[in-house]
Amino acid sequence: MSNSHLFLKSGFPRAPLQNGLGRYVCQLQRITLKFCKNNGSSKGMRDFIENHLVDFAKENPGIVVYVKPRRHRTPVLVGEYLNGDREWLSCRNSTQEEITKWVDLLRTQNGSSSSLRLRKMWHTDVPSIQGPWTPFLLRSPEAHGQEYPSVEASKPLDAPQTATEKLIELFRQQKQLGDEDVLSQKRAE
Amino acid sequence: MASLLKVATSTLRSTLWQTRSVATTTPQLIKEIQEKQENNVRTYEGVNIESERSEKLLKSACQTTFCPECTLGLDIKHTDVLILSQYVRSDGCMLPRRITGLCYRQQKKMGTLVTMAQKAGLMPNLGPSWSKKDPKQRYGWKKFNKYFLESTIKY
Amino acid sequence: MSIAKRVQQWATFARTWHIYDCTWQNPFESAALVKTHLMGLHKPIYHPMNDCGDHVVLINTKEIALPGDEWIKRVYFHHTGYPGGASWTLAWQLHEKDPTMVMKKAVYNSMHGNLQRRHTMQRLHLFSGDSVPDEILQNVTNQIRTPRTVPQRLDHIDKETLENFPTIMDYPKDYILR
Repeated sequence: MSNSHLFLKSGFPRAPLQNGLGRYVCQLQRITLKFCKNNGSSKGMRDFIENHLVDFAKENPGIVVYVKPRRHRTPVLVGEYLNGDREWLSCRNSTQEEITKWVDLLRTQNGSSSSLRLRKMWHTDVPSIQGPWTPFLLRSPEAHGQEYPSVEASKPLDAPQTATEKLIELFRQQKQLGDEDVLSQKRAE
Repeated sequence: MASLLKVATSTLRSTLWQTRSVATTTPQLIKEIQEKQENNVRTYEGVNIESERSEKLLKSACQTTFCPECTLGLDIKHTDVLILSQYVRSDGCMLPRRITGLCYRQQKKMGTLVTMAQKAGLMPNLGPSWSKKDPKQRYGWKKFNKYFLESTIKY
Repeated sequence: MSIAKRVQQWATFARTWHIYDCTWQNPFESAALVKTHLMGLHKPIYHPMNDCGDHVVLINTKEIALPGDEWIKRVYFHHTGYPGGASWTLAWQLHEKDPTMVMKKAVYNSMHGNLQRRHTMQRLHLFSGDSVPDEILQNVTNQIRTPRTVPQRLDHIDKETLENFPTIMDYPKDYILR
């Protein structure tokens, strides 16, 4: 078992300084695209640089874009954020479209998403006005003052109708029908 | 000859069934063997009595072909002892098919269900006279509670 | 933490006591049910790292039921650690020696073998019959519903039901009653 999570930052997801409430500040500061000029695994990255990178830089004047060719190495995306986080992404054998999506992710997120261990899977800034759950919440009034163990409280709720019960029901219907026959006869008289 | 026999049996059966369907209004007569002891003389007598069941009989059960599963849609389990005990003699023996009037498959199934109920100790009062009436008094592992799954019935 | 908040905390993490009647129940189906209550899996606040398990009182463990011939098919293995110290005990023999053991082992084996299991088992209280000490019974605030309905014996059904029960089979004419 690895202990790498011991030094991982932990916390709750939050927007820094209420970003986006007034104006939006892009949290991504620098993006570095590392690739090889001849290797096949960098094909997608080269395509991206050729077709989309200039547009990307023009659309996002706040982001510094570095392009770093290096021989015979895997293509890599590195994003650096305003809070000091650094996100490293391997783009080996990725296509141009995939890289576009990854770059878009790096651009829109607040900080490095993988460097934060979420303390809980849920979080609220506005706690419930009813208060937290307790074992006594939503208990049926019949349970109050009941004697345990009881036979009734032990029975399953979703038990299907048994053949015995069904037969009794059928017989009761037959009796009712029979009574009605007698009544109609009397009326006829 | 065979066809003649068949015709004869069929007419016989139809008359029999007619009498049976009549029996729902006039009660069925069945015989009970009564034993009397008078001064060293023991007499056995077959007495005609009215069937207790005729009043509580379900109408659809008077049909010529009746099956609790197909006619009534009953899914009988081995815990439905009130139903199963009707197909059983007082010594816990399954009644034969000519008396129960079930089809072959249902007769086999009902027999298995009766066996299951007896093994689970749910009908301890229907058993031979020498049987231990209390299932807790049985020998070895048989004294503990057990239940059966109806899905294990073959055929 | 304010006093009100502290009380709220006590209420949320309060240990409740459940009772479960094992009469005619399969111990292994029951174990899955009892386990959830023992570990607190039924609570919305469950987390493996918080201690929110409940107490469960099992009564009538003597009356458990196994399907078919499982009483002679299920075998419990024990080894003393010495050579030749292995022993195999059939379920019915174990049940005869200790009527709570089959149920206890069923619950124990239904949980993962981690360090928490021994502590969770401390919250299980087993009774072979229906007599429970009063100090335990006072705590109980809930009864766990059983998965199987308890079958009724023919000789325990009251006379009125027996007499009024409809029949679906009448004897043929001249049938000799036995």
